Amino acid sequence: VIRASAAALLAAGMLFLSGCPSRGPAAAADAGSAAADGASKPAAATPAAPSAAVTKAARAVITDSCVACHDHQMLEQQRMTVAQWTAELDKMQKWGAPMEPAQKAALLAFASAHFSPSAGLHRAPALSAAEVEAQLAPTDDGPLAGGDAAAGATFFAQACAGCHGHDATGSALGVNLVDRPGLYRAAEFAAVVRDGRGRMPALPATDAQIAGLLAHLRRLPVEPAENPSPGPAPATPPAPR
Amino acid sequence: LDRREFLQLAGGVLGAAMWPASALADGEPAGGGALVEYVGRPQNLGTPVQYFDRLITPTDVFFVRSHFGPPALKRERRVRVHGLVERPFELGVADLKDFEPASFTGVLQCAGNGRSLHSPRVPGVQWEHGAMGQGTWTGVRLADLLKKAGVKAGATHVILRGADRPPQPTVPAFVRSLPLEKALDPHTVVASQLNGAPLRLVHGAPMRVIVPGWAGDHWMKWLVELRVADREAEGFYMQTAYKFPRHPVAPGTAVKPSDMVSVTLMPVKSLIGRPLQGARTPAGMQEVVGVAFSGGSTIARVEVSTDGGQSWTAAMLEGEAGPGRWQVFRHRFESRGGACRAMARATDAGGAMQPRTPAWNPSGYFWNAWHEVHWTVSA
Repeated sequence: VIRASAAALLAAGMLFLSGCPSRGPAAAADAGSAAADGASKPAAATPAAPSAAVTKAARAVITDSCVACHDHQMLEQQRMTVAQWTAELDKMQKWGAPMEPAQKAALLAFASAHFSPSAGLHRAPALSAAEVEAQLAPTDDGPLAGGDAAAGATFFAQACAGCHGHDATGSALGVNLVDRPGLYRAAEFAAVVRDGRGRMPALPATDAQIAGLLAHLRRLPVEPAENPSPGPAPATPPAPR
Repeated sequence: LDRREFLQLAGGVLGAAMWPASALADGEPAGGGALVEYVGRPQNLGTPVQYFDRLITPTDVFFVRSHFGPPALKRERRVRVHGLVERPFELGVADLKDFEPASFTGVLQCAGNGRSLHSPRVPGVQWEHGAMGQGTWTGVRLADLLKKAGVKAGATHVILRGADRPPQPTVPAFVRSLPLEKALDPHTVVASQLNGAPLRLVHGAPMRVIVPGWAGDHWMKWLVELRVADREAEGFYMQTAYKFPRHPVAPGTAVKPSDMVSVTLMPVKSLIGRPLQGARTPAGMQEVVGVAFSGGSTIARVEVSTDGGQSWTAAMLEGEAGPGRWQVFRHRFESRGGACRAMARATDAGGAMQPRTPAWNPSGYFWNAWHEVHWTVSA
């Protein structure tokens, strides 16, 4: 078992290397230390690295579902057993993360192989105080100022409400847009609309349409969320993209 | 995806930047004013360990914990005081001047600080040491707001609600409550300032709740609602999360919900801020500096061992003593060169001493084991 798990970890290391040449020696070193950890704890067997097909499917779920609400570092830093990952994915699904059974199985295989208790040290990156401020600070509206809120409401109902909800508080397919700092970062907002994000498709909107959207979203009521408990999971997980 | 996230996803397993060149491990020297990004969105940012050598944590590097990320920055945002009260009212920051000013200097610490150091590991933001800081929080007493509203008989709790919204309606909102007794404590504050400046958005602007000695999950940010009630808050974040076993459990134990209680008072803790793990220092006088606090008591003593725990020496304490308030400890010794190590343990006035092994619990809260650092003295 020890040898098999060490081999699996080394295979995982090779996968890291092949997927990401720039990491080079660091990846090899981490795979090595992970193998050493695994050898010292034979009880915590780490699942073998998943196949290329499973890896591709897992990455697609992460891009389409997970990172709508939180970035991928939330996954990378965890060091969990298969049982813990199973419970976490169940919780996320209960909270509304759309995953079909095959997608969920792929994500479970991927996460529990790469982010297991015997994986190497996760190093969080540094972020300057100035960057922290700049991520959320309001920016000038520029050409997106003074939009027509009524026109924006119509545009929203046609193009956005299907995923973000009629009241813009979000659904399994799109995040809440009410009272968000991003509504006061017009250029960034426009880029998300025009380039897409995760499963959100790119939308070739004009400046006037985006200005209208912003005017509409900014005037929505901002009463605090009233749901202290999660509701039922969606009965039918929506198809990706 | 922003550009950085795209680049990360375009790379290896999840990202080329999993171990970027600028990687900053907790405890390693950082460039000026940098935080440790555990999660970028929503922001969960740790204070680097080297700032735990002083009484006040600079606002620039004061840690940030977010469940869903902040609402828009609206200085005009108002707080509604209602529920089981005679005279419900609303107030904004400008209305705080109608009440006597109140200030508290003390520790804000995430209940999950040190989660990644528990064994076996548990899910959640994998904080190392940086989810804490000490600041001076200024505003008005929560008790004065409740007095103005007139609490009715039968009230037992104050439900706290912030303006941050979950990403979709199926995700539970972050709602918490305080027992009325703690809400009426004269040190419990509704603050609009940190360290003499208006609260920044990431720290809860325009107003947040300050709950001395208690873990950060009660310190509601972006406050919009204080609802007096006859029961504690419902929902995931009060009834399921932020719970601790009533009695000690063996590491890895699954604990029944009925055997769990809400985390409140922070246990006694000390942490070494200097030297940093793996540092190199010149030969001569070595100085071990850190911070020590206890949620419900003052610090009686901090002891430092430089021989792996065989002998202990009382360190000097600096700063004002108080419950939920940290003091700086300092210990000096000579070294002519070679490998050095130091370990610290604090004892509070109630007699509670930091444990060598932390109390493992299913959510990884309140890690407070003896902190040890190793460094090299150049001959």
